[in-house]
Amino acid sequence: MDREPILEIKGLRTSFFTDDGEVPAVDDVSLYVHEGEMLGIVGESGCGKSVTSLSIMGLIPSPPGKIVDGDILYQGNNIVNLPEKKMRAIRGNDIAMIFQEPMTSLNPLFSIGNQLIEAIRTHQNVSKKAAWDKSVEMLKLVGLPRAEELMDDYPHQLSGGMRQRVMIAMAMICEPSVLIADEPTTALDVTIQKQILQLMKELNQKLNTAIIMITHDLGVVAEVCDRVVVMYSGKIVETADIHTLYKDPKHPYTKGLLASIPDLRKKSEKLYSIPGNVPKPGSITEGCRFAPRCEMAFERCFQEDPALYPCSSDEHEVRCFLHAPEEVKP
Amino acid sequence: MSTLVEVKNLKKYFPITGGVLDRKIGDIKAVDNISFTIRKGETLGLVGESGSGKSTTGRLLLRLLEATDGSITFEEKEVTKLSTKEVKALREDMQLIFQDPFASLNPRHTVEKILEEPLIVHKKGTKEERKKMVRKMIEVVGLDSYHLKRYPHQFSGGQRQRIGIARALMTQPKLIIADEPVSALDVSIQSQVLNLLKDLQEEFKLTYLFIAHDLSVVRQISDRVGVMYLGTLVELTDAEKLYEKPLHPYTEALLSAVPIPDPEVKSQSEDVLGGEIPSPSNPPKGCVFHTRCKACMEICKKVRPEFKEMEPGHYVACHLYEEDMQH
Repeated sequence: MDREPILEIKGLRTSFFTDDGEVPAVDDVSLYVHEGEMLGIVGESGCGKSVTSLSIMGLIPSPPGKIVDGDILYQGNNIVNLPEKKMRAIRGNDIAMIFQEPMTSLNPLFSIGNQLIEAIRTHQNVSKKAAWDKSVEMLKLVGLPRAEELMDDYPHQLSGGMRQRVMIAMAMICEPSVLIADEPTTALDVTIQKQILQLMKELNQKLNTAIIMITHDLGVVAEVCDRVVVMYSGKIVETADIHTLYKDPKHPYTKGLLASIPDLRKKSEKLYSIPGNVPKPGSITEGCRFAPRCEMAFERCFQEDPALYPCSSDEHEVRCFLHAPEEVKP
Repeated sequence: MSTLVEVKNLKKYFPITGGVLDRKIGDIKAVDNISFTIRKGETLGLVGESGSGKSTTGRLLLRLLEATDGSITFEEKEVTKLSTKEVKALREDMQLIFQDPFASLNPRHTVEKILEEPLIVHKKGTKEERKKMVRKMIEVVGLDSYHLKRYPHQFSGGQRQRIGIARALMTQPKLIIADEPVSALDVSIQSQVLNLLKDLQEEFKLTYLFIAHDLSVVRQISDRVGVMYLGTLVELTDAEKLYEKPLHPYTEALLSAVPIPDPEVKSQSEDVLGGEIPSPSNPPKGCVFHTRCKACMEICKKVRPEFKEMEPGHYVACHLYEEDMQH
């Protein structure tokens, strides 16, 4: 693809400086997303997927956090360390975010309408009336019934699924070109999750919004995403288009992860499980981060850090010595 | 297989109070007239969305909550009528594994103390014997005896859940009620814990009531599965049957909503179950599911369907199948 990506991250390193020293939560992460594309970032707790998204939004709490290195290019312009005033103009307007827990991200003291109108008027110079109309239209677009009445309701009066729809409406109200969704359906029941996923896919196709979907659930990714980035302990271990990743995973971690998902369609006598525990960020500093849990690991894996090697098919990259090209092999 | 637990017409209503005098103005029908049995040595899965009453059911069994009506029989004992003293004895045979491995272990106690406590409470063994049992149990769940001197915060989520399981096993219970035991864990750790639960069941001849919202997880561990909706059981049968040939429209909808980790089989049905679970303080008249049901008929809005055995061992509460039987 020759198109210019709408958002591109190059060599991002975000660290937290604690009493025990520097903890790299995100370590040399590069990724991109095109207009109208849905990119999934998958990983387990502590893999750095949320820190990546907060870095894009310029929301890393500092101190202790800091973007140590790397560029985040939005429409070709670097937005790392932008002055807060400029960042504010982008945040919510060009790049918006939805969080996991809709209850804690809505202000309980203000009505839904109030919060939606604030979101518009922060970025656009429009009358209250126009903002009101736009808000109602947005609430209808995300499939909420009786939108006009809803404008006067408070968050506690809504159910979890409705709150998440309001969050999506709020994120989409300024028509951002990139939407980051951090575990948007984890707190919801399956039937509601399905409704929300369909809604996001619809918005993605209708409005051509690029969506970065951050989740731990490979089922959710398979349902809606076009491309996937798999993260482990702060690093990208594999990236591929959705069909390749599920059909032909290369990295032992991706393979293990896919194999350990309990399958709804059949009962297995013994579930596959990856031995060991998910490492704490920064606890492994040498060699491949996955080596201690990897069944295929050999000596080199513990000494050297593998790079992301390209695989046969397009845009498929994997960070594993098993798939290193000949010239890199010892 | 003999029956270990028999639940009959169990109800739990939580009162809603309001007004100046704090009078009762209504009920939240958390569990509304459910009946089922748990057989010795099996795993009965209980699935449902939030607010369906599955956790309340588990707590009623343990007498952590008092039932409003109905009976629970555990090995010929009527659980709802036991005295406080007898309840304590009952809990030796019935233990609970909690969802949140971070909140359910006392942060100020060492693992050794956490595991020894159930034995002290139930006055089992001498100090020496207790220590020995604790050392044995920690190895059974896949940890080492040097872990005993540590505190909960020094463990990962999966390890903590292992400690929670070890604690539940200390009194050698017959029935374990596991309330969302793996939902707080990472995928790669989830299967470790599920495998452990399976192995322990075989080793100690345990019976599980496995409560979860994740249908894929429930399939892996359960022999039979019950589906709950808004305080009622809508379907109960062998796991195999339930997943392959569900009868109740809600079970069908629930199964089709689970995202499949394979992009090639992108959701077979595009039908999404519309709407949301109604409030349990004001459940719909007739069948509680009729407001969201695709196959809703006139009768569904008026009469609540009975929970009946449609085929041997297959219980369903749905008017669709009652009609079939009449013709």
